[in-house]
Amino acid sequence: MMKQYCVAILCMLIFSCKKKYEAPVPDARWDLFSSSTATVLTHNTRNKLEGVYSITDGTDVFGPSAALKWSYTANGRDTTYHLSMFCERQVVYVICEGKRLDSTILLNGYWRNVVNTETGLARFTLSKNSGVGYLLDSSNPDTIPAIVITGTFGTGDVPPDRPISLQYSRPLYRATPLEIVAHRGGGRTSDLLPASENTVEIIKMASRLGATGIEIDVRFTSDSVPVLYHDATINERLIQKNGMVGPIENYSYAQLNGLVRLIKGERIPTLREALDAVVYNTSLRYVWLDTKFTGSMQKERDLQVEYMQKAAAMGRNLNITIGIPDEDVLKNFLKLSGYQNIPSVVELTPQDVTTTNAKIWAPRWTLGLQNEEVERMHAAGRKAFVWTLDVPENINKYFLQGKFDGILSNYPSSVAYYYYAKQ
Amino acid sequence: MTPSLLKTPGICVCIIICLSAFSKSTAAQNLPIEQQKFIYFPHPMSSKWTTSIGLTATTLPYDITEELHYRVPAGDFHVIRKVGNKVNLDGRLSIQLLQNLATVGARWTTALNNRVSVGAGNEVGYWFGFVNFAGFKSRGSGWQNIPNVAIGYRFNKQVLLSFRADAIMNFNIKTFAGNERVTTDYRVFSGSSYTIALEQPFYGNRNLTLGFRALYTDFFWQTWPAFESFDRNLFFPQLIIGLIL
Repeated sequence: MMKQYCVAILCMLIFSCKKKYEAPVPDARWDLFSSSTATVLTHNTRNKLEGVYSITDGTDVFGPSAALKWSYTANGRDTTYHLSMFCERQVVYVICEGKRLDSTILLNGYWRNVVNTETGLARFTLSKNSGVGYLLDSSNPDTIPAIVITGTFGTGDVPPDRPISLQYSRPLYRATPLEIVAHRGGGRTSDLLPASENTVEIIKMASRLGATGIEIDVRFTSDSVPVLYHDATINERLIQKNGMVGPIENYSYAQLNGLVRLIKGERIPTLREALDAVVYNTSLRYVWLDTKFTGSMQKERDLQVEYMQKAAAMGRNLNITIGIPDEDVLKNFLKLSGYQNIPSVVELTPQDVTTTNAKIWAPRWTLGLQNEEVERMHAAGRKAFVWTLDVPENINKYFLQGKFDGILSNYPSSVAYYYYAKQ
Repeated sequence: MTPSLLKTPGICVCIIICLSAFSKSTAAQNLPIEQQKFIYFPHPMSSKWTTSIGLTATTLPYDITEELHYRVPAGDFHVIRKVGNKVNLDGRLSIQLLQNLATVGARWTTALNNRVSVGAGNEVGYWFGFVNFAGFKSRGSGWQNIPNVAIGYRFNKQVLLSFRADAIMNFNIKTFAGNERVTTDYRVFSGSSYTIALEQPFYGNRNLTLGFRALYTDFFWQTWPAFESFDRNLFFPQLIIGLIL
């Protein structure tokens, strides 16, 4: 009998091992890039670098084409600029910083495939005969020379040694505006991004991931503090294990702030902290407050007003909408004073959109393109966003055949590629 | 590496209780292998047919189910048919009504000695499902190919312990959300699974199978409605209980 017990227990030990996946951001230190003589790139140079590039070397990892676009993160008086390369291959991106070293442009960063754990360093150089003269010139001649970005990439923290080469092909598409809305502030925790979902840290990253707007999930603590959290309960998907269980509404903000750490070690942020980050640290122009609670929406509304005013005072065109995902939230929304003048995004029927006078109608993507209904929204002065589109082929289809003004996605970099690379 | 199963004590307790409960009855019997019933044990069959009914319960990972922790039960009907001295056909139905998997295959088995037997086989499966939940009208189907090898050890007292390893290959996965085709890029070589199964007398002329299967795959057929996009192998622990008739 003992033998059986031993075998059973041994087998359980062997086969109950769950692999923990991680995709840590590689250590991108590069002596040449950090040299004291290297200087930041000018606005003009950054602008000239943006565009759609064809990839020659490295297509097995990055695909045949990429859209290069700059974004920034402000931190007080410091502003950090990042060049994102949104690649055609699903769902791969490169994030770099750029510097000038004499008559050379250096780009230093990392790449990541979001659907798995592939990541590594990426370093690029633009020197003589690669259009660097044009890029560093402060004037803007009509003729654009051939811009070639060459570099290397690798796996993990290992010094990169595989060649990658990009050739400028055309400017980014911007003819018809599109809101690229990143799910949960920038992306899901399960996609192993550098920050947890619904955090200040991921919100600051959202533009680098391709987003022009974000969707965040709002719940209330037991002492009525609006916080960002998706799930109904505290669970090991989102937090580091600490023995706490049950609905988040059962805990005070002080308890959550003191005892709970999200998967990447962050605290659960308040809605105020999140909107602060949007207004003061990012260039995001749209926020979708996904209402995950039932009850009075007045506090959510007050914060919406406060931060739209703060953004306006800074000359920012920031649009914050209150999300109405179901009938219960709709009933609470209709109790708000002057609800017809409150910017909202309604996931329900077109009739509900009319009732609330919502700015945006947001049907789920599985309902199809719905071009006629979308056109009716446009005719009524509203916009239509679709959620949640993740499969690249479907994203492209909705671009080519649809009329939506915004796309909510877990993979904003894929949406960004198909948008900016559109011809 | 996290020994996650041991953190679900129910499974351990269940296995140990069952082992204890039947240890006395098995002590009194010591039939030759030719007179024993088995489904998983890789040994040449003596009877023409062996049939088993039971349940599997698969825990779906948080990466897919998010805040909900599903442990999905499925009816399990398993039949093997002797077609040669060392060859048998193997058929299996995994039934959840709204989504189902049927597999058929062949298996070659042989005894290395009085205690140890080995087997190798291949199964082909087809799964299909329909879901109409919360406004999501989804459907999906796909094919599987599952080559496998197994080794078994015969203890005294009619206790048969089998270990089986499968490669999981997925083909032609088609999923639709409404009228929209969800084209996801699943790998053909999706992963592998490892099963440990214990078969022993139960009551009357029936035998019991208790098993645990660890699946490491980037696509598990029961999760097709989630349209998950991960290209990495996730862990799906599966508990198997069967009554060999």
